[in-house]
Amino acid sequence: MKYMIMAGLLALTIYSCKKTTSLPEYNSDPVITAYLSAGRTMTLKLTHQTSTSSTVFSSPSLDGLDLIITCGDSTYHLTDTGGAVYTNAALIIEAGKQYDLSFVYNGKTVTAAAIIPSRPVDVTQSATTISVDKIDSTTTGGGFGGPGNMTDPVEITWTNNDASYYVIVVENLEINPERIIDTSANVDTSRVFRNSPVTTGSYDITSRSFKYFGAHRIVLYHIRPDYALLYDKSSSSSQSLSTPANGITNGVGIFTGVNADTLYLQVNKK
Amino acid sequence: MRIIYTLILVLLAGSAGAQIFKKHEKKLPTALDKIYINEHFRTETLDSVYKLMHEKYGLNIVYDTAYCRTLLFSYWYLGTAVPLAMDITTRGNDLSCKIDSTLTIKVKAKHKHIILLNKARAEDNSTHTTALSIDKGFTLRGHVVDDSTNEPIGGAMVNVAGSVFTAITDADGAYSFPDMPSDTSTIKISASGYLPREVYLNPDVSKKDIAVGLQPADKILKEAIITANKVDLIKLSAPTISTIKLTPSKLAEIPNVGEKDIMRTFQLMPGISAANESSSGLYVRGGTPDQNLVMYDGFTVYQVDHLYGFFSAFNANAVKEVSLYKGGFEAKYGGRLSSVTDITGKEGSTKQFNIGGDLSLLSINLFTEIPITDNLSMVASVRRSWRGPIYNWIFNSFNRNTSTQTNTGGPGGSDGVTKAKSYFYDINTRLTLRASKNDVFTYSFFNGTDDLNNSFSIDAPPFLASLGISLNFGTTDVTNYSNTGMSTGWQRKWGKHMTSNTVASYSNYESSRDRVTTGSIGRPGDTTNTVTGVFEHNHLKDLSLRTDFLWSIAKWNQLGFGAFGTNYDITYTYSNNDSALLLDKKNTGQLAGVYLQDKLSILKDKIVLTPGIRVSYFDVTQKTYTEPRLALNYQVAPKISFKAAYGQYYQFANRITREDISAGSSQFWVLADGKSVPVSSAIHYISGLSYETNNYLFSVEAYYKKLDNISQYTERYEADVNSINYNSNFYTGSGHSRGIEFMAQKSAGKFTGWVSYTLAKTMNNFTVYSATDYPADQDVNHEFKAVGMYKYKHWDFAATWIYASGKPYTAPGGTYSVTLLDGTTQNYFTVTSKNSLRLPDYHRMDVSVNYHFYNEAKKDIGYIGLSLFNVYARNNVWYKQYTVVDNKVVVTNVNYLSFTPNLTLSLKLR
Repeated sequence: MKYMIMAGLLALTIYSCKKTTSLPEYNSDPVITAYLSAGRTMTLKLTHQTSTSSTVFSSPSLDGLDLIITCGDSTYHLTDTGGAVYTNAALIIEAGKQYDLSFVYNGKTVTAAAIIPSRPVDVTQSATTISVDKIDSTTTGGGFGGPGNMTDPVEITWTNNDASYYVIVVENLEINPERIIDTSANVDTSRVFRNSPVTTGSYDITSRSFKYFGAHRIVLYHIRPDYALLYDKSSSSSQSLSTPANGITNGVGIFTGVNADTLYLQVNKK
Repeated sequence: MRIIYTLILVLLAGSAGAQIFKKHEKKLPTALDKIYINEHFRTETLDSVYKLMHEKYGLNIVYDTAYCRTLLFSYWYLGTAVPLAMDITTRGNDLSCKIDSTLTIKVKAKHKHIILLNKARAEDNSTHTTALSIDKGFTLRGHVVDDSTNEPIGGAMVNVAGSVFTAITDADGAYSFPDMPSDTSTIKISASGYLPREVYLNPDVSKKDIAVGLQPADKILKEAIITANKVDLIKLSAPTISTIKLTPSKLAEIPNVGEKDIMRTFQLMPGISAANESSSGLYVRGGTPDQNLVMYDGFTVYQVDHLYGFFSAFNANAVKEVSLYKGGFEAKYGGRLSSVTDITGKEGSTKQFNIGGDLSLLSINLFTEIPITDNLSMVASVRRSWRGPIYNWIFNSFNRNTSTQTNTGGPGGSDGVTKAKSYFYDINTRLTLRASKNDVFTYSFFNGTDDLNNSFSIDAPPFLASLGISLNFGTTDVTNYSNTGMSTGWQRKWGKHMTSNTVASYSNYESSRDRVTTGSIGRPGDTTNTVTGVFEHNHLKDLSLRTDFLWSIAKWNQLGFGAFGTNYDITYTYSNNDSALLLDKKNTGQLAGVYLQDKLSILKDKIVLTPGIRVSYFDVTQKTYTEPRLALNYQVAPKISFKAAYGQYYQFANRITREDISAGSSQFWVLADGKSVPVSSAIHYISGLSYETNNYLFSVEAYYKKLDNISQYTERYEADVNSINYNSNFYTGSGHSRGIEFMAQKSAGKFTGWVSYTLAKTMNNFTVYSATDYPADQDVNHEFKAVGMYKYKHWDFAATWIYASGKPYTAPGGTYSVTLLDGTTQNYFTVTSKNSLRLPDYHRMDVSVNYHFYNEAKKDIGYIGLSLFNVYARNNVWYKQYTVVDNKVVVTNVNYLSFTPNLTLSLKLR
């Protein structure tokens, strides 16, 4: 009996561990960036990933590949216009349709699909012109990015019955715009700002969001969930490291459909 | 000391340095083992003990009076023969005794040379048990109590020396032996946290209800705080495998990082992962903390963490005893896959009022014991953190990514920046009513709350306020969790052979997390608010009723049975940007069942077999779950026992980790629904050998645990990127863990401690992560732990060293950037295989020193202690942080706590 017990323990011991370790793997899958915008021609850009390893990896060229787009019964080949930017002037994207991408890279077939959302409907804006104070932070002691006298936010509304995702991008159109907050401090000088994707039917653009006076273009994008996921999925910790879900097989990046409506807004000085 | 003893021995017949008691005038019997001592010594010096023995029993004792005045002795002799009585006086110190041919008893330093007694040592009572044997086959009954408070001691081991008879006292401290072989036996009683005792029966006392008082170990401080697989010397195996009992009263001897901590101390045992500074929950044999059932006076505790897990929610001052079952647990327990932690609160003294407290760099802790009436006692304790250096250190470590604001102005400060406060507290209360000899009623209440607030806000500067404009921008980053539990218990003795314990309990767990950025701009007549962020709320209510019966049918057959029922009500909501309710789970369910187990002693008690079965019905899945259990103890040799256990386990309420990429992962409880979250199951196979002597324990245990239908939640893989459904992000997988644990413990003497080594492997299989098995997040292959404690007069010294091989992690293999619709670019990572890499090995050493205070009665009434955590400032990696700079990935190690000193002052009235 004793020997049986010892043998049993020994067997359990042997049935134990082996070391698991490996070097970081470098996946040379291509990076796709393509927004299939309704009413526009198809353009797609391919790039390489950057390896995190100190080891130098050489990936095959991204130029001169045969990229195929299928839409229903139609098939289109994309042409490399240089710098791994592929396009086909004959392919005009249409709302409501699905476009399938396929090409072979490094021995693997890369596939992706995009459904083009509908154009935003019933889009309204609460104002076409707003007036804000110019703030001289060196004399008023401000610096919170807001004008001295508050201006009502500009409310953008649209119909969203199915809780689709929408995103708003605002861009100053002036060639040489004047800053609202006159400061030389290290502040955001970007002329474009956006919100995070929302599933509602309205969004308030607060006056403090504007950095410059002048004409602004407000683009309301109707987007697909895979694009919204780009905003949610970004981690830098080994505890929750991940690649955003993207629906691309043997590749990463974004291959999605968008459909937009454009509004304009003038921001004047009080 | 040697010189002193040499002198004493030379001057044996009457020097000034030694006392020699001449032969007493009355005639001595021919053998000292016919003289029985009946005395109760309470913390007296050995000198006075020997004097009394001389004066009252006529013994000739030669000893060093000066030295024996420095040794304290407590014992209750109930008819103990002189040789054994003398031997008892020398235990745990540096003495031994010898009886020579003239019947003179010589007590001398053990280190000089050890002379055993001629006939009787404590572990060899054969000479006693044959004497005066008058009665046989009677039933012996009694109960074991704490000598200082009169509280009953449950779980104490009572053994008839020289026989195979062993009993475990019930919650009321009662034991019985239905068929005693002799009324002159020696009864050995041991309990975790108490000095062991021996009671020598004689025909006058053996049929009575023998109340045995045990001295708490903290009076003499000679024992290790933990007895693992405690097996007495010459008897059957302990009744359960993989069991660890812990006595909180001794916790202070272990180094700590701010608080003496029950769960942290368990992490020093083999099979329980120690490299988890950020979790008080126990990773037992590869199981996750939610697979460990934590019961406090009968109610389930769903949250055991304080301050992000660095401290456990249990106040050691309120806890009497904790039992941890690492696996293979009996049919009485269920509802978890891996392990059980059963915590029993202090009952409080019915004799004396007591009050005390601890003050450390982390918290203040007060407790009181109130004897309300002769049969009603109360214990209450409260602990609250204060934002001292340790609290801030840990808090800021957790918030390093977000806590960029410095508090320079304070509330209402001139810069308008306000930071909120954070704190934790817990409250324990317990009432015990001994309504009759057979009925005990208890009420226990527990609340542990954390309010972790990393928020800050910015108010309008004066120049705007003067214009009538209000402005407030802020980040709310609040994590709240609390667990409130209460139970009402009724322990009842039904005649001589049956006891029951019925508990009605309620547990309410609630956690919320708001990580929100708000903006509010107001001017006369108009205010604009903006809100963006993540909101989570988890609420669990558990209403339970259970009853357990224990029926001693015969001395070889003990039947346990009972019934249980739980009503679960669990909600979880997760929303984003104040608009989209992403997850909204509302589950209610009833779980009810019965269990039956039979402890059978066969083959002259060499084998104890405990088969059991637990049957549950879960109304959500409308299925019946049957859990067979089997435990075996085989006494291979007098000091060697073989143990094995098998069991099937189901878990219905699971805590699931939700990976949150931007705001940090969080965990929430959900009830199995049989669909997206199935009822998880496990099978345990355990076997082990242990060898135990009076002072040493050597054990080895091997285990294999198979897990099925375990759940995880992640948003990293969308089943369909064209249609995000957050409810579809629950994934089901399986796992297994296996390992072998070695332990050697020295449990008596001035130096105590243990070393342990665990070789283990824990693998998961979730096809969403990997097509093949991959190491689980908590997988640690090698763990070595060493604990040493040394007692010198008023001083305690202790050191612990932990080594654990690195945990697995997932690293980026590459990076890429995507140009977003606004023209900006965002960097992303492509990840390697799940958990394919290992963090550096974890190790650290902690040391502590305590100086104890004693009152006039030589009772320990507190200490001042210095504890040094991570004394050589090892940078143990918690996780890695990746940032992309100039198209290159920069890796930063985020480390656990470095060197952290702590001071604790602990005092009590008595």
